[in-house]
Amino acid sequence: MSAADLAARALRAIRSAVTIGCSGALAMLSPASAACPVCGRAFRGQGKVSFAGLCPACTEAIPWIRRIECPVCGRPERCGDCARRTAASFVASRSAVRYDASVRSWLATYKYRGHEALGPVLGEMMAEACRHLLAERRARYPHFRFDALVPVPLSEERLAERGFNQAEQLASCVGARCSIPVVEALRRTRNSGKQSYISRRERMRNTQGLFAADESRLPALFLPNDTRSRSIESLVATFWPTFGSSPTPHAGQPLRLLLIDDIYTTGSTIDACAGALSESLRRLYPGTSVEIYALTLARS
Amino acid sequence: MKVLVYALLEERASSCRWTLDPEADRWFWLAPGVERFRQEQGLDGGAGKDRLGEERLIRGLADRIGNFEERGVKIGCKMLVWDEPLPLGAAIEAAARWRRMTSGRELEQKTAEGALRRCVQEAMEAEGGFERQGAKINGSRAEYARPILKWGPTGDGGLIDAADGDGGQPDAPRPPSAAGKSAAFAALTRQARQDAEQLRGRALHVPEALALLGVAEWRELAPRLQFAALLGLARLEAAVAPAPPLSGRWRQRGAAPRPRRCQRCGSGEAQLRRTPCASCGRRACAYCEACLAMGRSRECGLLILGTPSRACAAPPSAAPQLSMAARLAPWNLSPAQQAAAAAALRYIESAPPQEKRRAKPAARLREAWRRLAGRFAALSAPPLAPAYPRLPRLLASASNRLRLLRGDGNRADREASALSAPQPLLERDEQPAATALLAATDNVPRRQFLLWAVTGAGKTEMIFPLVAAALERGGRALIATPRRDVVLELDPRIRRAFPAERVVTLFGGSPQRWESGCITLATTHQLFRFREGFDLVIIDEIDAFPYHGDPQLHYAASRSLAPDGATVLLSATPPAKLRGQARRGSLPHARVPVRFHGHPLPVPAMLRMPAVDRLLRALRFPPALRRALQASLDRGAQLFVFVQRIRHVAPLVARLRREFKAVAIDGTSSKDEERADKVRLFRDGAIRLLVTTTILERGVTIPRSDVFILDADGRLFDDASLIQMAGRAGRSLHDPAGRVYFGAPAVNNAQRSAVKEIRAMNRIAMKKGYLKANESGKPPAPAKPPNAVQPTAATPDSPSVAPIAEANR
Repeated sequence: MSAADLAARALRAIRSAVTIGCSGALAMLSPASAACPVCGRAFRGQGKVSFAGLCPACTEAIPWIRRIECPVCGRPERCGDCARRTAASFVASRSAVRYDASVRSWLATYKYRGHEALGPVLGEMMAEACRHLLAERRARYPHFRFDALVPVPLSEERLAERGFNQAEQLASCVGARCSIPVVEALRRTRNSGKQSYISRRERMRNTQGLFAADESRLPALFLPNDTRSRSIESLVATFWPTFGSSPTPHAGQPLRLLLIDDIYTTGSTIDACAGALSESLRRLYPGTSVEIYALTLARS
Repeated sequence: MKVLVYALLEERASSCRWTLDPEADRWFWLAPGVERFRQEQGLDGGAGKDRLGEERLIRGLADRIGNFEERGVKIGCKMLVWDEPLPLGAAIEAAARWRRMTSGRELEQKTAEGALRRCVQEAMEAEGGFERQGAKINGSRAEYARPILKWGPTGDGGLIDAADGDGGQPDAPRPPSAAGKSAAFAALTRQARQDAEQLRGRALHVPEALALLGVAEWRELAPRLQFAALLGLARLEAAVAPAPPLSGRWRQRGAAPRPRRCQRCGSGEAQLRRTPCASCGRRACAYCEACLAMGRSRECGLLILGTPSRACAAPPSAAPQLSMAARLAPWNLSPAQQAAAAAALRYIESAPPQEKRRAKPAARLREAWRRLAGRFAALSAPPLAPAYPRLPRLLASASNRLRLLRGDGNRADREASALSAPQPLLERDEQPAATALLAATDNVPRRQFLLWAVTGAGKTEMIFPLVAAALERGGRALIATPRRDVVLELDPRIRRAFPAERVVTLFGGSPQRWESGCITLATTHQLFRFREGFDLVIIDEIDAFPYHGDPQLHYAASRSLAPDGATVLLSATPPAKLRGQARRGSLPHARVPVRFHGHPLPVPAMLRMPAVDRLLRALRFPPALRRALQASLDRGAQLFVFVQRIRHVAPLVARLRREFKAVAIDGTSSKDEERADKVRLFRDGAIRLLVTTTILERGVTIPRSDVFILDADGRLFDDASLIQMAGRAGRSLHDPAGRVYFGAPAVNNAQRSAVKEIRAMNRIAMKKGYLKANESGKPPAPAKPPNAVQPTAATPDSPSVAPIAEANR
C-alpha cells in the first residue's frame, strides 16, 4: 500500500462523505413529498384531494359504491343472488368499492404479494363504508350500533403461509376508526383451497360447514363496549354521552355483529359465517336476539 | 417460519444448528447404517469423484464413520434438541451465539445443555421473543424454559440415549432399522443431488423453490432441502437478516439491535417494514418493500441458495489454444468490433487477481470508512451501496483462495470449499482463517469490463464470441438488460447465433421461468432469483432505466456472478462514474468508436427555434424548422421528432398535421396503448413522422431516419439521452448519413457535451483507421455500394451468422 494510494483513498472517502452530507442537508431543506402507498410514486400533496395518503390519480381511481340498488347485499346493480336466496343468515351486507381492475390489483398486491402497507388504506375505505352503513341504519333505528366486528378467519395453513389475515387487519382498522371492538369469534374447520378458482355452485357447496364459532370467544361479544376497548371516543362518550359516536347501550336491543371480509362475490362465505355464528349463539345463549350484518371491501 | 434448534455434540467439537426437519438431521448425524450406505453409493472407489459435492460427501461420511468404528456406536454424536420451534431469526442468532460462546470446542453434555439454554434464551431476548397462543414469550431466563430433548446414537433397535432419564423423550419417533435407514439415506441423497443440480446458482424463496422443483407441499420439500443443506449442496438463510457483526476490534458491543438487510435485493432498514407475523409469531417481523414485486422477503422467511456455477473454478488452461483471430473469425465482425471483442476476451480469460497481503491497512481503513458511511447513510438517505452483502460469498472465496495458497487446490477441493459458507460440515478449522482473510479479499475488485460502443456499433455481435468462450469453458452466461422489449428483441438473435445451446429467456411472466440453460437472457429484475449462477454476466444498456440509479438491481447483478467470473458492461453512454473510472484506468474497457458500417456518426446540427410550449401557442410555424423537416421529408427519410413532455405530443401532432397536410404524422408515448403498432407502422413507412418522448431513445432501429430533438435544452434531456436519440439516425448501411437536429432557443452544456462526445468518437475512429474512404472527416456520400462494408460471406462453419448480422440492422 503506497502512500499515494492511501492518499487517493482518503480523498475519495472525504469526497463521498461531503456528497452524502450535502444530499442529507438538501433533503432536509426541500419540501416534503409523500410516496403514494398504492402506486409508489412520489407526489406533492398540498391542496389536492387525497384519500388516506393516496396520490390524486389513485384517489380518483377508487370505484366507490355510492348508490345501492340491492338493500340486502349492497350491490350497485339489481341482484339475482339475493332474490334467489331463500333464507339468508345475515340482515344486510355493504361493500365500500366495486371490484374493478384497480381494486383487483390493489387487493392482489395486498393479499398475495403481502404488501401490508396497503392494509390501513383499504381499512380506511371500509371505515368510510361502515360510517355510511351506520348512518343508513340510524335513520331508521336511532340507537343502532354494532356490538362487535367479527373478521372472517383464514385456515391455519393459509395463515402460516401468508403471515397475516387480511380480514383481521381490515377489521382492526375499521374498529379503531369507528370505535367498535374486534372479536375473533370464528374459526375455519378445514382448509378449503382457494375460492377464486372455483365455480359458483362449487363455492356454495364448499362453504357448507366450513366455519364454526369459537365458543371460548363468544362471551366477549356480550361485554359492554368500554371495558373491551378504551378508545378516546368511548372515554369521551362515558363522560359526555351526547358527544360520543356510539349511543349509550340500550336495553332490549339485539346483539348486532358486523362480519368483515375482503370480497363479497356470491355471499356464500358471509352466509356460512353468519349461519355458524347465529347457530352457536342461539344454542349457548337462548333468548338473545342476534342480528348479523356484513361489511366487505369490494363487491364483485 | 419456525425451525428447531439443536446442539450437536461430537468428538472434539460441538455446534449449534437449526433445522427445517429434525428427522433429516437425526438420520444424518445419528444413523448407524452409514457404512452400508457408503458402499452402496460406491463412495469408496474413485468413480464419480468429479461429481458435485462427492468429494465433500466422502470426507464427511468417512469422518463420521471413523467415529463410529473407532469408538463403537455408544460414543458417537449426540443431539440436544430445544423442544419448541423458534422464529427463524432467533434460531440463527442462537447458533451464532453458540459459536461465539463455545468456539465450537468439545463440551460435556451437562455443560452443553446449559450453553444451549443460555444461547436460546439470549437469542430470544435479543430478537424480541414471539407469541404462543396469544401469550407473549420473550425469552427472559426466568420465564422461558423448555425441556431439552436428548437424542443419542442409536443401534439397530432404535435406542434413545437414556444416560440421564430426566429429559429422554420416550415417545420420540424411533429411527428405522439399519437396512431401512440405509436405503432411505441413499434415496434422500440421490434426491438432494438432483435438487442441487436444479438449484445451482439460484437464490429462491420457498414458493419459488416449490415451483422450481415441482413440489406441491412444503412438508415434502422441507426434508429434501434440509438434507441437501446437510450434504453441503445448498445453503439455507433468512431472507431478511442482520448484517454480520464486524470482526476484530470493530465488533459492535452492547445490545443495540443490528440493522436488518434484505438478503435478496440488499435493501437496508429504510425499505423494511415490520408487521405482526402469523408464521413466526413475532410482533415485528420485517419484510422488504423494495423487491416485493418479485415475491416477499421476510425476516422469518427462507432464502434457499444453490451452489455456485460449476465452471467458476475451471483452470484457465482449459481455454482453447487457438489464436484470437481464429476464434473471432466465425463471428463476422468489423475491425473495430474485433479489436474490442478481443480486448474483452483477453480480460475475461486473464487469471483472476490474487489477493494482496499488503493491502491489509487499506482494508482496515475501508472497514472503518464503511462503518462511518453506514452511520451517515442511516441518518439521511437510503444507502447507495449495500455495506456487507458480499460477506458469505467472500467467506467462501476467501477460504477458496486460502487453499490455493497452501497449494492443495485441486478442482474438487475448490468446489467443495466454495460450497461451505454458513453450515460448514468439516471446515471448522478453516473458519477463523477465512475470517481473517476476509478483510484482504474484500479489497480485490470485482472483475468488470466496460464495452463502450457508439450507437449502432453492433454491440450484440460483439458479445457472441464472449458468450461462446464462456460456454467452451463449461460455464453459464447471462445477458441481462433493463428493458423487457430489448430482451424480446434479443431472444431470436441469440437463438440463431447459438442454435445448439439451450437458451432460457426470463422476464416477468416468462413461460421459461423455471428452466435452466447455458445461456440465460433476462431482464435485470430477474437477477434477484440468482446467486453466483453465472461465469459471464453481460449487462446491456447499463445507463437505462430502471437499472441505472437502482442500487437493488446493481446488487442483484453483482451477486449473480460466480466468484471468479467476470462482468461485461455495455453502453453507448456510460454513466459519468464509469467514464471517470475508465479514464483513470481503474476500469478495464474497450471503445468501439465507429458503427458497424464504418461511417462516422452524424454530428447534430443546432437549429435555433422557440420552445415547444411557445411554438404551440404561436401563429407562425418556425421557418427554420419547417425547412429542415421539409428537406428530410423530401429526401425520403423517416422522421423522429423527440419532445420532453407527454402532454406536448398530441398538440404537436395536430400542429404538424396542419403544416404538412400530405404527410402521415402520428405521435406516441409511454401512455399510448398502441405504441408497438405505431412503431411498426413507422418502421414500415406508413407513418412518416413520429412525435415521441424518450421512450424511443434506444433499442429502435429504423432504416432511413432523421432525428429532430425539440427543446434540446430542456431539463429532461441530458447528454447521454441526447446521444442516444441522435443515435437513431444513420444506422443503416444504405443511409449512413442521417441528419440530426438539436432544436432549442439556446445551446446548453448537455448539447455541447453531446456534440463534443460524438465528434470525439468520430476522431478516434478516424485515427484508428476504422472509417471507410474518407480522410476529411466529412460524412461519405450515402450512395455507396451496399456490400462495401458488409463483412464477406460467412465462413462455412457458421452459416447461421450472416443472417443475424443482417437482421441486426
